[in-house]
Amino acid sequence: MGNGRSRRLSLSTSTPAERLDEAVDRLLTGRQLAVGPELAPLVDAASVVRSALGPLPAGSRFEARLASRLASHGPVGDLVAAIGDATRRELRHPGRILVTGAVSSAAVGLGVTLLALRRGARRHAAADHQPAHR
Amino acid sequence: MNDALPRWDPASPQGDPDRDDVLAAQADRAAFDVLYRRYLDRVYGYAFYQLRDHHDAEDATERTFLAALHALPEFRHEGASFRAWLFRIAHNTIINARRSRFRLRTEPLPDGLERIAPNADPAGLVLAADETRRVLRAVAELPDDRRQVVLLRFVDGLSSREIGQVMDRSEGAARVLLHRALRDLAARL
Repeated sequence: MGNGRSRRLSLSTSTPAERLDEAVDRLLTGRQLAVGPELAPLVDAASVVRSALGPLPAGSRFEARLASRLASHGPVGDLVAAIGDATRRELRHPGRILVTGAVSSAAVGLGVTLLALRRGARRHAAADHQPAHR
Repeated sequence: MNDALPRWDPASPQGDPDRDDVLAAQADRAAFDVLYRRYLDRVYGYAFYQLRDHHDAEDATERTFLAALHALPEFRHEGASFRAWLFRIAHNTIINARRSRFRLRTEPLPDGLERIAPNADPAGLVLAADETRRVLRAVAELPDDRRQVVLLRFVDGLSSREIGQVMDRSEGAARVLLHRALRDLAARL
């Protein structure tokens, strides 16, 4: 089986990078793959690196603390869900929010200005209709 | 560690080995715990080997999982595995952490490495620590993209295809980076 796989490997891969990748795949799954002399030192280096860079378990206190934070992440997530899909789509495009915000602010500003002008005009009109003596 | 991680065959009808757990977590947030337990050490290790500081690694790990949980409803199995997606988040988080910190420690031996075999022979541990220090130094001296590939391949067990997705490169480019990295390491070790 091993010879068959090696034969298939040599046919299906062509570049050194591809052959090395296959060899590393085998290495990571604990299997052997005979490679040519040009790749042998690289596979040896891969083996050394694999042995040296061992697992690094996260601390148990950290694991528990983060698990707790993830579990209590609900309210924020629920809040995001509650504001609806349309808003969530907007949240994925912050630029659109800025444009929307700017346009909204401008519209509100214009509305307030128009209202102030209209009230001012009314006051002037009312003042014009006031009797001169009172 | 790497042996426990199932390989992802994109041509397989099953596809992403995490698919069922991801769908479960998308339906019920509490089910994210399975994915969290499965990938916590891997994400932490990836962060630690790059940031070389436990606190920074924990911070990056925490940010990664919180971001992943928040964005999980948007994740779709469209050509990328969950773990490639998760490690892309970690990758970006670590890049940001390194930018903000603007330094990379290379000297101290990570004390977490002593936890690998607490009952092992002390003399053997010293030799293992020396070897580990030598390899870590050689990996730390690699150009950034080559170091990323080595860590993702050997610490986290990702395929070249997945590494390409994490680093926004093609699968072929990831293979070439791995080839160059191992050539550099072969010359240094």
